Order: sequence, then C-alpha cells, then structure tokens
Amino acid sequence: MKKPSIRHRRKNEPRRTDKGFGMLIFCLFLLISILYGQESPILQAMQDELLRTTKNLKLQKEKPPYYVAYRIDDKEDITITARFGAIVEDHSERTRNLYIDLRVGNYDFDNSNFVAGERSQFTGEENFTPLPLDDDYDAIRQKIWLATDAEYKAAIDLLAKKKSVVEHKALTETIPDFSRSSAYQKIEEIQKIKIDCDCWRKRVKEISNLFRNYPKLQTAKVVFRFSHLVRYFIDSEGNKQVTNHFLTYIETYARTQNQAGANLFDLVGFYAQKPFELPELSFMIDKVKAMAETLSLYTEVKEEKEYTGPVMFAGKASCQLFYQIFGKGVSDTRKPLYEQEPMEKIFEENTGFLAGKLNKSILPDYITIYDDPTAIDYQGAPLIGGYSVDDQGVKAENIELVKAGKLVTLPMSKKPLKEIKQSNGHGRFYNGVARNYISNLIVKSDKTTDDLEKELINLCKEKDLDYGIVISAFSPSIPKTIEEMEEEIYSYFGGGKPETPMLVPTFVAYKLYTDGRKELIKGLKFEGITPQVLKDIVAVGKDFTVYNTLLRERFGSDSYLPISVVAPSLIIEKMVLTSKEEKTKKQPYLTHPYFAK
Amino acid sequence: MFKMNYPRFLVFGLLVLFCFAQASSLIPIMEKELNRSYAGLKNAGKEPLYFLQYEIVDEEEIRIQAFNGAILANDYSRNRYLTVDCRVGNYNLDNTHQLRGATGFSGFEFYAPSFDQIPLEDDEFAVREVLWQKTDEEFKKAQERIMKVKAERATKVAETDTSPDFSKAEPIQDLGEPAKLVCDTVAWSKRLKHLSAFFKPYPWIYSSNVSLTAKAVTKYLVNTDGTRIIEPRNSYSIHISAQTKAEDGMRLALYRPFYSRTVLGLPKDDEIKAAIDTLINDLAALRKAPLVDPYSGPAILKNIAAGVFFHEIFGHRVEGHRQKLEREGQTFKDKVGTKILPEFISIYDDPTLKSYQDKDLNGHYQYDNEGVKAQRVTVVENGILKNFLTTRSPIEKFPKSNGHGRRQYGYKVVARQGNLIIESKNQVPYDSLRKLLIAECKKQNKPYGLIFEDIAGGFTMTGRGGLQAFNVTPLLVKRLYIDGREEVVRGVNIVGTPLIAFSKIIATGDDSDVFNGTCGAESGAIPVSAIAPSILTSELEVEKKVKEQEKLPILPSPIGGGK
Repeated sequence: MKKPSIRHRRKNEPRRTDKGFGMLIFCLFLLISILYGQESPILQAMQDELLRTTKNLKLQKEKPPYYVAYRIDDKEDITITARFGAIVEDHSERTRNLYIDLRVGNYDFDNSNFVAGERSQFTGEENFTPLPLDDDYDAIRQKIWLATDAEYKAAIDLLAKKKSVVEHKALTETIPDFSRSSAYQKIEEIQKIKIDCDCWRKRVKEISNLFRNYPKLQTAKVVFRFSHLVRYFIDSEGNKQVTNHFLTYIETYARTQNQAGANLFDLVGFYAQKPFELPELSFMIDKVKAMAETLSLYTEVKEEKEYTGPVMFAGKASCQLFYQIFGKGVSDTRKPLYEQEPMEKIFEENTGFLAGKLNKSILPDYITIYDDPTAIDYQGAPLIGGYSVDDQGVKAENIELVKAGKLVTLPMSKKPLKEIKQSNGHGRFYNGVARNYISNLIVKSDKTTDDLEKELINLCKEKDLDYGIVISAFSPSIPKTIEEMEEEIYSYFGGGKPETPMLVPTFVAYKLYTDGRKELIKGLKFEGITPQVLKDIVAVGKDFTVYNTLLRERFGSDSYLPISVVAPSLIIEKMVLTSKEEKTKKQPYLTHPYFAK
Repeated sequence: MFKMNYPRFLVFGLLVLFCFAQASSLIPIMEKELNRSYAGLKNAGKEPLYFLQYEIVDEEEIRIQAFNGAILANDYSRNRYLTVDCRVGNYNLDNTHQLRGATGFSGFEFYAPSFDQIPLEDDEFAVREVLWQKTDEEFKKAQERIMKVKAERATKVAETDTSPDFSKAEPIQDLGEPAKLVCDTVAWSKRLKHLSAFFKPYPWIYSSNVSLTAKAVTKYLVNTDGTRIIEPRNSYSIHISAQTKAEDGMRLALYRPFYSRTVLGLPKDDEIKAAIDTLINDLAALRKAPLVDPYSGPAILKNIAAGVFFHEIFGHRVEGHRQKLEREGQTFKDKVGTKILPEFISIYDDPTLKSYQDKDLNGHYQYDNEGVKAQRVTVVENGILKNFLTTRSPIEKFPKSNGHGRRQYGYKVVARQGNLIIESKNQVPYDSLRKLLIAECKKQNKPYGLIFEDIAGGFTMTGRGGLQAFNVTPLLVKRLYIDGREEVVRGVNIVGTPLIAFSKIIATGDDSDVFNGTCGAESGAIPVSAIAPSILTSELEVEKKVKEQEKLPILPSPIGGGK
C-alpha cells in the first residue's frame, strides 16, 4: 500500500519562518490554493484526529480499527417552491455533517455489510454528527473525537454480532468485505456561486402560474433547488480530497384524476450541476406547457385492454428502460447480511439482478454501454450523475460495462464482489450505505435505423397488426405522497415483491397505426418483464436523449442520488402489455376555486 | 477561501423577514373558500356537513446554536400550515366519535398529523387551491369514518359516557395584528458564540449547547360558527444544555431554559453566564456523586421541579377527554366533589395569564384551537376536585368547553393545559421547609430526605394499556441529612403510584416560580407553563436507574488542558 506522507502540524507547533519573509510571501502566492486546503482548520482537525485514532484508539482486549475514513459534507441548500403562482416554501440551509466509516477486523471480514436487529437499509438511518459551521479547529476536533469513539465501540459490537450470525448460519462462501484503493489526493478550491434568489423566485412563480390555464389539472408544484456540497475526505489509506459538488434543478409536478377517478401525475424536470447550465426560461415554459397539455388530454383517454407485438421506446422512455432494466440491474449487486430479515426489506430498490450475467451476452452485439462519472455533459446537454471522486474517496473512472452486447464489468465500490474485487470509482452513498451504482450511463449503437417509426410500421405490417405501440415516457416513479407509499406497502403484503425489475406502468404512449395515424393510450403495464427484453431489441434510432433523474424515495426527499442516462430510441420485437388495475378515488366534490369563478 | 459565505445567510434571513412582514388579507380569502365549501358540501355526502373550520398557523422561526465558541446551526424558516376540521353527522354523533375497536398500533386509532402548506403570499387562488383540496380530502375522510362509527354503534354495547360529540360555542370576532419577528441574528450569533465559549475550558463536558429560538407565530382561524380570529404570539427562548458521563459510564445531562415574549425580556449575559456556571458546577458535582440507594420517605420538590411534576403527574390526568375515552385510565372521573389533595392546595389552569411576577408565561393564549376564548378553570379548590379542562367535545356533566382545546397544527384537538398554577395556604419560607423535611425524616426514622432540584418532564402514560406511573426524569437530586449536610446523588428514578405523593403533601414553600416549556402529547407539541411553590411530601419512592453499558471515551479530549 502506498502511504504518502501527510504533513501534520500540531495546533501549537510554531510555523517555520526562518526562510525569510519574502520567501514566505512567494510560497503563499504560488501555492495559494493548495495551502488553503492544507491549512484549512477543517482538514487539519480531521487529519490530527485521524492520526490519533489510528495510532491510539484501542479498547482493552479488542483490536484497533484497521480502516478509518472521515467525510465532512459542508452543504448549502436553497429550496424555493411555488403553487399556482405563489411561493409556498422559501428556505436556505447550511449544514456541515461528519460521516465516519470505521472498520474493525480486516479487509476480509469486518463490521460492514451487515444489518443487526430488525433495522433496515430502507429506513436510511445515516449516522452523522452535525459539526460547527465556523472553521473552529477545537470545536470540530472535539466533535470528531466523540463521534469516532462511539463509532469504534459500535463497530466492535457489530463485528461480534456478525461473527455469531455467520457461525450460526454456517455460511461457506465468503467474499472480502472491503478492498484497498490507491491513494488519491485532490484539493479543489472551494467554488462560490452566487444565487440570485429573487430571480429564481420569479421564475418558479411564473412556471407555476402557467397552471391557471389548465382547468383539468387539480394541482401543480414547482420546485427550485440549488445545492452546493463541499466535501472533505480523508482516510487511513492516504486519501485526501476537497471537492465541490453541485446540483441545480427545477421540477414541475402536476396531478389530476381521469374521469374514472384514477390518479394521473407527471413530472418534468430540468437538471444541471450549476444554475447557468439550466435551459432558458422560455424553453422550460414550453416543456411544462406540453406536459400540462398532455396530462389534460389524458383525463379523457380511455384504458387500453391489452397488446402483443412490437413496442417502440422513444426518447425518455428508452432511457428509463435502460435505467430500470440495465442500470439498476448492474447496481447495488451485493446485499448485506441480515441478522433478522426486516419487514421493510421488501420496499428496498430492486437492484443487482444482472450480477449473474457477467461475461454473458445480454444485448445485441452492436450495442455498447459506458458508465462515465467524469463526463459533465453529452454533446452540450448537462449530465448530473458525475463526480471526480466517489463517496469512498476513489477517483472516478469511465468504465465500459457492455462491449459488443456482452456484460464485461460492473460499477464497483470498495465493497468487493465475488467476481470483481477492486473499486472503479462507483461507490455511492444512498440511504446511509455505500453501494456500487451507476452514474452517467451512456448507451451507444453501431447499427442504427433512420426512421424508427417507419420501421415499427413495417414490423406491424409483417405481423398483420393494425398498429404498434410507441411509449414516450413512463409514469414518474418518484413523486410519491405518504399516502401512496402506504398504499404501496399494503399492496406488497399480498404477493410479495417480484424478483424481476419493475417498470412502472406506461404513461405517455400512443398507438401508431400502419397508415401513420397516432392515438394516445394509457394504463398499460408489462407482463412479466425480464432483462431478457434487452436481447429482443431489433432496431435502434440515430437519435439520443439525455435523461437526468434523482433516485430518491419521495418527492422532495433529502437523500437522493443524481443519475443520468443517455440512450437512443429503440424497438423491441415483441412485448406483452396488459391493462393495469387502477385505484380510483372520487373526483373532488367541488370545482377548483379558480376555475369555478 | 475557507471562510464560507455564512454571514451572507444571516443577511438573507433578515431580508426575507422584512419582505413578508406585511398586513395579512388571509382571513377574507379563508372566509370565501369556507363559505363556498360549506354551501357546496353541506348536503353533498351521505351525512350532512355541519361544522367546518380552517386554521392556518404562520410560523416564522430563527434558531441559532453554538458550541464551545463556534456556531453549530443557524436556521431561518417560515411556513404556513393549514389544518382543516370537518364534522359530518350532527352534534350528538359525528365522525370524530371514538372508535373502540379501532385498529392500529396497540389498539389505538393512529392519528397521523394531517396538514398542508399554504403559500407565504396572500394570493387568493393559490391559497384557495390548497384550502379546496384539503377540505375535499378531510370531507371524504369524515364521510368514511362516520360509517365506521355507525357500524360500531350497531354491534357494540353502549358506552358509559353518552354525552354528545360536539357543543356549540359563541362566535368570536377578534382580528389582531399578525406577529412580527424581531431578531438581530448577527448580534445574537456573536452573543451565543461568546456565551457558549464558557463551556470550552471544561473538556470533561462532552457536549454543550447554547441556543436561541425566536418565533413569531400567527394563528388565523375561521369556522362556520362565524368565528374569525387572528392571534399573534411571540416567543424568544435561550436554552443551555450540557452533557457528560460519570466514571461508570452513566450519562448525565442538565438544562436551563429562559423564556420571554419579547426579545428584550431575555436575560442579560451576566445572568446567563451565572446560569452556565451553576450548570457546570452541578454537572461536576453529579459526575463525582454516589449512586442513589432505593429509598421511600419524605422529599422536597423544588418550585420549578414541582411545577413539572404537577404538570406531568396531575395536570394530564384532569384533561377532559381522558375521563371519556374508554381506553383511558379515567383516574379522576368519579372524584369530582371529593377531596383528592390536602385542603391547603388549590389548582387552576389559567391560559389568560400573561405573566407571573416578572416572568412571561409560555402557556398563555387568548383563544384555543377550536375558536373558544381561554378561561381560568378552578381544577382543585381547597383540596376538592371541581372541574376538568375541557374542549368542545363534551364529557359527562361537563357539556361546555372552557377553552382548553389545543393542538399543534395537523393534529386533532384534545384538552390540554395552558398555565397550571398551584396555590398553597400552608406556605413557609424555603429554609423552614428544609427544616420540616429534617423533622419529618427524624419522625420517620430516616437518616436523610431527598431534595429534587431539577426534573425533566415526559409523556405520562395515562392509558389503560400503559402504566399509570410517573414519567418524570430527575436530573439533579440531593440528599439532605438530618444534620443539615447536603450531598448530590445520581441515578435517581422515581417509582410508585403517582397520587400518593400528592395526597401526602405536608407543606409548601412561599417561593412559587415558573416553569416554561413545551408539552408533547397526542395532539402534538404545544407551549405550556406551570407555577408552583416548593413542596414537601411525606412519601416518595425512588430506585436506582438501570445502568447504561456505555464506557467512557477511550482517548482523552483532544483539546486537552482546561479545568
């Protein structure tokens, strides 16, 4: 293991100034940014406490920690929300939290990848310590000291419990719990972006005011969010980083009911890292209008019974397909060992189902898939899934996941898998756990078709079908109210969770008749979809769509993971679509007060 | 540039604060939608809508926390929360009626708070959109629930308390000025940093906090009785806390709150510094203190501790709904007119009282959350139970509300305390009370008595399922030996039956003081006060707390040195 020397300056140790005043000024001038990093009281406190921890922290009869990482997330968040032209929430917040990854045991077997008791990963209990916002060395160190002490004791307890569970379950196959990474040092200057809140307030109000023109919609919400995270990371493997992470978005979420009383909702979001990368207001307004118009139309669209035949996934729908069937399939592939299987486990993201397909062909041989966290845009369109260093302090790597249709590797964190042991810079924290996860997923095809709709019509004619189905978007799976979560919980109790990936029902879809006519349809779901559908891709378009999304449990949830998917439109040869059962609720008794005027 | 843009946020907070501080036209907007909804929904469902109420709570809050001379948090928030109360059926039987066979956690019907956020701007249709949706939701829920109520009535035996579900109340029109928040966050940050640094020389204090919470809360309430209320409320509080561990790993924590309705009413630095010094000294004494031995005998509860004790142990049991709900313990249901306390004790709950001596009272309010004017209620007169705290939901023999229907936004109203006042006709100076404790110890043949200097309140379980036991946590307790020596002890847990301690009060001090705090119960967290003199009881039972298994920190504090 490469162990770079870190210069530790004790708090009261005098600085060496014997080289003369001029030299000092020169040094300051030359290395100003680096010096800022190294002299930051935050990094200093982290380093000094890390040194003390690795050297001296040991409980009698117990082993000292073999790995310690300190991560301090200094975050500025601005949230502005509007409804129907008026501001509802207007909030700025600054937090500075310490996260500790402390491990006892060794790389092969430690306190991680284990959930004690009935706790679930789903609940997202992330242990963190709020730190002073002031750059106060003493106060920060005091907090790090006590948090480390608590983490160490908890780690020892957890390891003991894990040992007894492993012995009890007589597990034979063992995969190491953790892997080393080569030390990476990167000290970025802290960037500052001024947010003109007044300007964003106006925009958010203006967008939400559009809904005064859509009497068929019941409610809409527009959210502006700006988040700047300055991350300080050091660990006992010699990693040391200060990095900036930005996320800016405007999401518009609209809801109504169709004539039968079923809920209809849609989300249109604009995402970028920095505010100036967001599209022009007029562009956003047009997109929101289009969404509102489609949603309004959908209040009268009748339910479709069933369909078997070729299906075209256009634009966003293709990205969503790749995200759900491929992206989630290769992510979070190693599940923890549970002391007791918690009830809530069934609500966890269905992920990792493609792990067994490694080195197997899963797509047509003309398709290649990359995951590139280092990319910040795709042909000018901003991507939000990227980073320069992952959440475990590992340098981001562009990886080729699928080569000529074959799955050749997986996104990797420092949590080893049976087949792959090393991290490739894809360790991402979500709900308090470091998982291997995709970032910017980019799908490319060597063979493309000029006119995909024409191709679909041809396929239909071959099969004697009057029409084919084109899906342009799936229901946003994100905006869930607590009520909807509860409904979902109850619906799961019946049949348990399906083993295959879940694609939410189609939302925007239409019939494409062989004569070229188009007709909106709704309410279809896939029957028994498996990753096998990827092999049934028969045509790929020349186009590409950049789809940015946030993995999160609820609309507005604080724990989220930015993900980007770039993919062309495509056709799958044969799919079975059936009507979905919809929960209906009585329409509102009274008309919206504005439209009742 | 490592100094982050922290001061910018402070300025931002102030700006927002001024932008929104404007006269509100919320009431007419609420009125319009209330009238439209009432007319439109009255006969729209199976059961008629007979009462509808909108309550919007506009909460503006600044919270600054400091630790060892550094700012730990500095938050500004402003939100408007809407709660809709909807009653279908009639005054005798409506959707709010208790469901005895309710399912959910341990047989309780589980009420999740139900609220929505209202725009911060008084835009008529943006506000009315939320009112409309929440009304529709609550109306549908009410229709569903009354079906369950009626179904249960048909199958279960009659309830013992057959009083109606709702009572009429006088309409009220009182439109006050919305509350404004006055707080110089920059100056306060400096002050809190300065004050919190007094903890810094003590590395054995693991964690400490000096915080300011400044709130401007305005309640807007309209209902179909014709009631229209705007009630402002300001509160400024400073909270000091410190935690450490004893050598055996026992967690020790002490708190000290200050409260005022005005920012100027908060204590000056020297007073806060003195409180910090006392807290540090007490914590130091606790660390070295011996563990308490199981004990049953005479004890003094110091004034503020006595206030907390009365609020938790007595006050919650005279809340009206607890005499009616079948799942409740109904401790005092049949005790009206009988002696439950020594004849020299009287107890009132008087939310109309703004201050006591020179101290502002946190439990003060003009109108409760059902639009009823707050009233002084004589709960106990000369030891005899006279009355309960009531809401508009009648209980046997108490058909009317006395203005104690309270809740945090989103929750259902229940009877709650405001300012609980304990008065005594058997007052002696505290020194004499101390002597009386020694005398009582000698009489009972005890080597020492206990003095409860400080206790923290908690949720008292009054239900039949739960234990009817104390739920107060003693923080600082001393032994008073018969030779007059005092000794701090730790690990004290109060056990036994609550009512005994009250019926055995021998005398009280003449040192009534105010406890200001927040009370959490089934209708959420609400501000309360309790005023009590020190009390001497001949019997209180304590035991040793179950020992925590945690060890002391392995490494010494990194800051080192210090005192």
